[in-house]
Amino acid sequence: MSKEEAILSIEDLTIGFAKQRKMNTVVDHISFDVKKGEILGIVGESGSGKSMTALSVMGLLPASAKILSGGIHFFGTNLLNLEEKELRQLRGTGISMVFQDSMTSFNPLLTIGAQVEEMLRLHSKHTKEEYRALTLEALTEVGLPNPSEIYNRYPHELSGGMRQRAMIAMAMITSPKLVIADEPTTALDVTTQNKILQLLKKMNEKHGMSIILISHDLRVIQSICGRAIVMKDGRIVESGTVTELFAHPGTEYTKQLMAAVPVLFSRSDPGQNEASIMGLKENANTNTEKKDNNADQSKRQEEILVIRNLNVFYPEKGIVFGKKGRKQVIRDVNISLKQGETLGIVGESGSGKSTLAKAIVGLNREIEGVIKINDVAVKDSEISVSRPQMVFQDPYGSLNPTKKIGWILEEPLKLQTNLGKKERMAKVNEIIHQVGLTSEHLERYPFQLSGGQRHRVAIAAALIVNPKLVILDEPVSSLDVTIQAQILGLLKDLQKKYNLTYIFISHDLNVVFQMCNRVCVIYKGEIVEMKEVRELFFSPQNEYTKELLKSAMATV
Amino acid sequence: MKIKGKTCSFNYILGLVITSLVILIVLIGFFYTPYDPNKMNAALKNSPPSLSHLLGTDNFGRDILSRVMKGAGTTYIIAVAIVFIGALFGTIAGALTGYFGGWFDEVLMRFNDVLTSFPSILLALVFVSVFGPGTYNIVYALGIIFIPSYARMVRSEFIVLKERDFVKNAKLMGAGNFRIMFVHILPNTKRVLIPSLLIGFNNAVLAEAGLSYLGLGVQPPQASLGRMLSEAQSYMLDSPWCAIAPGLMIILTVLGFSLISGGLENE
Amino acid sequence: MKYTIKKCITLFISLFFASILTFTAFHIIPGDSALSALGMDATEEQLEEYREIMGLNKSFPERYADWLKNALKGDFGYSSQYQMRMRVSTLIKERLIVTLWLAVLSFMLIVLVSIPLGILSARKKNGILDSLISLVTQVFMSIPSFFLGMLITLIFGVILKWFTPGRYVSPGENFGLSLRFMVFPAIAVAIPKIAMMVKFLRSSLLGEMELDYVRTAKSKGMKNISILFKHILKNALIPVITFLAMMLADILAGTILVEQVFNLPGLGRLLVSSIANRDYAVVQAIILYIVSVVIIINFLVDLIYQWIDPRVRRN
Repeated sequence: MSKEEAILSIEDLTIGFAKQRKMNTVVDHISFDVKKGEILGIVGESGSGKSMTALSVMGLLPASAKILSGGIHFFGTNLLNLEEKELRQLRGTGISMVFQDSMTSFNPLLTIGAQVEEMLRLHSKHTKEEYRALTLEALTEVGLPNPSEIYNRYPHELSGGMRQRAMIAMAMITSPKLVIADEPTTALDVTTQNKILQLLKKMNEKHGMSIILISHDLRVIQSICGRAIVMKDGRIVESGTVTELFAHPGTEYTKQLMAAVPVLFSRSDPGQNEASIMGLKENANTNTEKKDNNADQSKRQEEILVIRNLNVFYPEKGIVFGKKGRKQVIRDVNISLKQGETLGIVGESGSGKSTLAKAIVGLNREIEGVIKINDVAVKDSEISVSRPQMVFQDPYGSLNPTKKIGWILEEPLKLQTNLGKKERMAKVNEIIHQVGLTSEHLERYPFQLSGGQRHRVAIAAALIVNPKLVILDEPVSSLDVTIQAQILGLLKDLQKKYNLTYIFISHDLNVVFQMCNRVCVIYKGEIVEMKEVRELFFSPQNEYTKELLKSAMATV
Repeated sequence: MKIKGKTCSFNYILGLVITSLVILIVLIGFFYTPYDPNKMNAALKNSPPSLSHLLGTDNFGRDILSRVMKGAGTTYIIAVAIVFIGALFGTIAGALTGYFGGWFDEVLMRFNDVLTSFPSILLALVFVSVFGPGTYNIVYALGIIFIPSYARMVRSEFIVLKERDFVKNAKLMGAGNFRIMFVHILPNTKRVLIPSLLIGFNNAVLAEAGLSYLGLGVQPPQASLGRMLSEAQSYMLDSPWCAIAPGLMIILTVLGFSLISGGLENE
Repeated sequence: MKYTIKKCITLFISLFFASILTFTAFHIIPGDSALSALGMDATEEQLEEYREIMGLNKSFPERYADWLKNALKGDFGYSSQYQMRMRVSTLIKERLIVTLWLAVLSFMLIVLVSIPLGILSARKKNGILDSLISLVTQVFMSIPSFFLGMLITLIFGVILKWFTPGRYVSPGENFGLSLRFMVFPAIAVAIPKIAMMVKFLRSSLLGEMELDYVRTAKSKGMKNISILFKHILKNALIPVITFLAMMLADILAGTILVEQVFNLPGLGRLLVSSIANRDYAVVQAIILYIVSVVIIINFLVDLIYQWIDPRVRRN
């Protein structure tokens, strides 16, 4: 395509961060164009430099960041040569931005209307009534119901989706030539995510402004972008049209990113999926094998967990003193689980999946019904060796920041066994090697480890007392895809080795598909569907399950 | 960033220098003073600083340097005792209420809210007016008055920390409540507890000075920084040095500690 | 509305608590208050008569009820430290004006000086001016207000003779002169507080400047100065209001000491002399007075919050 069509061209841009007198390069000699009217995706993991690139276009880099080389040309003008005043004029009218977290990105003390209108006031001259009318029009256009009421609402009074719509209205009210959307849907639920993406698409088609859509999630990029750039460690590793990228990923990294995108399976045309889901298919196969194994074993094996008619409540605090009542979070749940099995629990945030996990391990005691682990009711088993352990979502929070790793691993042995100091240390050394770390790590504090290493420690801490049942609460969702794969592999190895039973809680359906034998879908505290994993993914029965699968997965 | 790092450490180092200097003076004062701090000498009444009396003498002819050394020591001991009482009981109360919650916590915190919204010197005055003035009484009074602020701080830390996953993890391992409170959670509060001990020491020094200045704290002839200022007040016109030396000592003490605690907080 | 009602209930509960505490505190004083009031020479009849008049023979709740009933009417009984039996309420009324005048003046000084300085310091973050302000505030925070008062008396009163130490002119009598004399004690009260406020406001502003909504405002093409005044300042002032309320309580305490230094006939001096003379009726009344003022200030702050922060309005 010809050079004239490009409204923004970035040439040889390098951005560095001053860190302890050293310059860390976060964006490394990148060049790309944004063409008129297109939606360009920039995809990469956190730390890939995609957000820094976006902020540099807006001239909003943090004070410690410096542009070391290159140029940012917007309609032929190099933005890096502009005075602050000229740049200010450009922000809003030429380029505007939609941020990730709509809650913190709005001023909490001003109404939505005032903040959207402010954008207009800064860049145009109208009467008071006209300002209001134009603002209401913009709010209507982004699909906000009852805009005159929304106008007077404060940010905290709106839902995340509505706030993000208002933010889009604010960014687009001045009809800018380019809108940069930085992870605009990351903070939202999957169902809302799609709606917001469609809104961006609609605005793009209607007004013809170019959009740069930044995301860590290929699914998001794939759904509305024409072209995409893949970034890793500050460099562009690959670029091209989205269809091309998905059909023939050129680099290993893109393939990895793609493996994180689940694909909607359908029995009717399995051939279509074949080409694009090589990685997934392998996993699916191993899953089937394991399932068959388990089917044999399950005859011999005991039921390790039985849950019957479980109701879980959340105590609500009264205004002044005492309890006002309790809210039911989990309703009439029945689960039975055999040793060696992995049960996935999926559902949106707030569906009650974490509450269920806490009830099973005994952290939540406001329960009715029966939870039996190895035939012992949870309520009775105050301390027992066979008590289930849990691996939490964020190991930075689940490892005590003031203790060394060695202490953290030794503590459960001190509490649950009568072993002497030497025996305890021997066990600690054994387990740390089991999870792929060395004795050297025992002398470190959690903050001195990398994210993946902390996960390994958290897993070690859960396994050191030889539990039979381990509950994994979003165990990899805070990790980048490459490390995710390693941790999932480790979990599988350990399961085989110790014949562990897992309950795997996740909102990431791809991970669930890879890891689980059976899956139960929770919606508003109830199990709406529970099946073998392939059966659930290939032929969901429940309407909610279908919607969840549809919105969480890319359509090819 | 660089500049900030520099000024930050500059203030911190300045604080360390001032504090060590002041503490050195006090430590020497425990074992040696140039003159007997309480020995009167009518011939030397209100004499200005000189070679034999570096900081001059007061209206009874007592050596001011010796009195500042001894008096600062008294003030420090009182302040440390106050902070000890306040921090010890406050931490225990805050840990228990923050960890267990419930109605007991509600009641105690309402009571706490009322108490902490009052300036400590006012409460100390009530205490002193009921139990009478004197060194021990102001230690008890201020010590007790300091409890709520520590309790409140530790409590709010505990409320946040007890929801953290590492505490849940400890529960899963089967750790008992007291082990969780004092082995798992308490060390995590040191980030706020240590600076607040230093600030508490400062507040105690200032409160002692205020009360003794009003004649309700340390009683004559014993010297403390506040007591000396109180005595110097009437002679401000003729012999301002009587007031300047103890006043400066208070300022340096408080300044040093607050610079250090500021530096600790920034880390 | 629910919020306001809740706060009103809290207000009355707190006031009730405070009155019980104040009363109880002075109820447990060791020794016979009749004996200490009339002296060792008093006969048994005189003592009995005194107890009867003062209601000392009644039970504790009865006495509390009596005391509260009278206190609500503004009657706190008689002072024992003056030869003529003075009504406590008369005594307090005279002194209260002096203290209020001092407190209001100090408060105004604090607000007027610290807010611009705090903003300046935050805007020039890490500049020379900011570093200078930060060091000076650290030093001033370390000076006890009464020592500052002594220095001010020495420099401005004794050496420069800008005011007469120990002389008080009431504002009704000669406002200009009264202001001139009162400004110096007010400065002594205000300076350490100004230092604290500047430091607090600076860090509150800097904290707000890091937040996402500031970046949003910048992305709209707003000038930094407009962002400061239209977006940041209001947010940054929310915690400052609480701080100011605490400060107001501190000012009241500060006046106790500073009145002593400048020889001002205010509540603080009355309180200290009453404590020295064991004049409990007066001490009790003054304490209840100050405590009530502090509680009411806190109540008002809660209401202000509701008015300025929509998030509070909703919860």
